[in-house]
Amino acid sequence: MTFIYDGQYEGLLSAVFESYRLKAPATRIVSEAQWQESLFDQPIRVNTCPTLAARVQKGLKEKTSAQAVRMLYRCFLSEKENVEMLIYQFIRKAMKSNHNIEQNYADPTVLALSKINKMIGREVHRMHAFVRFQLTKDGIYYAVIEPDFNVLPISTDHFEKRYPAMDWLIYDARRHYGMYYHQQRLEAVTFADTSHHQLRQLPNSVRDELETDYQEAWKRYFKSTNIEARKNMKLHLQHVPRRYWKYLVEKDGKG
Amino acid sequence: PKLNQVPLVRENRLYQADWLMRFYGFSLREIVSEQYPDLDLETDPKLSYALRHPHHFPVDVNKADYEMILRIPGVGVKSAKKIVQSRRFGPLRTEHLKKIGVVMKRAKYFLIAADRQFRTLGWKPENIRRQLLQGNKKVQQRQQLNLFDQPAVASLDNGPVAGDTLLLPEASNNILTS
Repeated sequence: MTFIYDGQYEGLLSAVFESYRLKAPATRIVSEAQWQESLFDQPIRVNTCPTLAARVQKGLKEKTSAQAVRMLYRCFLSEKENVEMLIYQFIRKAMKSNHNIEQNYADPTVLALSKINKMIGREVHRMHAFVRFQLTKDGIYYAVIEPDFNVLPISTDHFEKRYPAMDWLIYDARRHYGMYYHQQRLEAVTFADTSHHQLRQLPNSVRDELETDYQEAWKRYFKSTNIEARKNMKLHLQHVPRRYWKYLVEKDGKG
Repeated sequence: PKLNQVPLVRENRLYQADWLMRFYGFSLREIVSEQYPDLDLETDPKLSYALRHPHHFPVDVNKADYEMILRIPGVGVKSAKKIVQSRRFGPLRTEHLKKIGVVMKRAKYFLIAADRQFRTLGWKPENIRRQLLQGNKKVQQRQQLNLFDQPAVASLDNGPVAGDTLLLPEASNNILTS
């Protein structure tokens, strides 16, 4: 049975609940955005219900652990093809078993999810490091990122703790939304006019006057702390892959 | 300063030996002994240990202690933990081990899983060693460099001593004092 959900995590959990309620095992779980009408499939469209989603999570937490619940959400953010089915299979196996299956790496579902979780963790770690802010005339620090996965929601904690007293906005150029932190509150934002968002450099009309100087200072600092004799590009690329160079000031946007 | 002239293998082996003692529960005597006072350059200390103590192997991953599983070459701390966690749910086979991240290329000579593979067990250490080093490009490159090397290990006239001077290269080759 194919289930269609709204693309949100709570929607996915609602679909899982529906599958149990209707006693109809899912063979495909697909988001509305990715669904294509087909002649043969009779899909079930699921309404998102936060209460039911919470029930699924509660049951899962009792059978496994808070960590497993968190892992599933993180895997969902990976946006990987068919991750919904993996999550669904994990929940089914967890509910059926008497033990906590979370650590059974012999099971292909558990193993696949743990690997995705690892990838997400790495991407979050990179997002903490590869963010470069520019100051705008309004006093907002603005940064652009293009993460491989949708990790922005789970990356903001780090910045909230680090810059609690400032206003900042981190924008995901690939997914066209950002997280805006101001007055100690965080909210998701989108731009009405998306022509600016891909720019590495803010236009002069918007940026603060000292911004250019600070960028120069940063590039000079970077160059002066660099040790030419220790250059090891292969190792460097392992830590800072080329695809992240685009928004790093010190790389001058190469690559 | 460029470090090209001093082979870093020795330093690498030292770090590996240190790691073994800190995270794998090895004692110094198990890594070097009176009979084998030097760190082998061609193989890492863990593999050396396994080759010198063939009577400890093969280790049955489904039955042995965590401490013994840690000693299998090709099994790291994370893999050992996953093995111990996953085997509660059922016997582990080589396919599971491979997916967990065990380096089966090395480990297959030293372990037993639920699907018994006899082809790679009971080998003589020399043969295992030859099999593993053959086709290993890094080792072959190093072997060519070593022809021009001066021996660098401190003399053993006073016999091996637990800890320091035994493993450190002679002062002139010591990159740390250059």
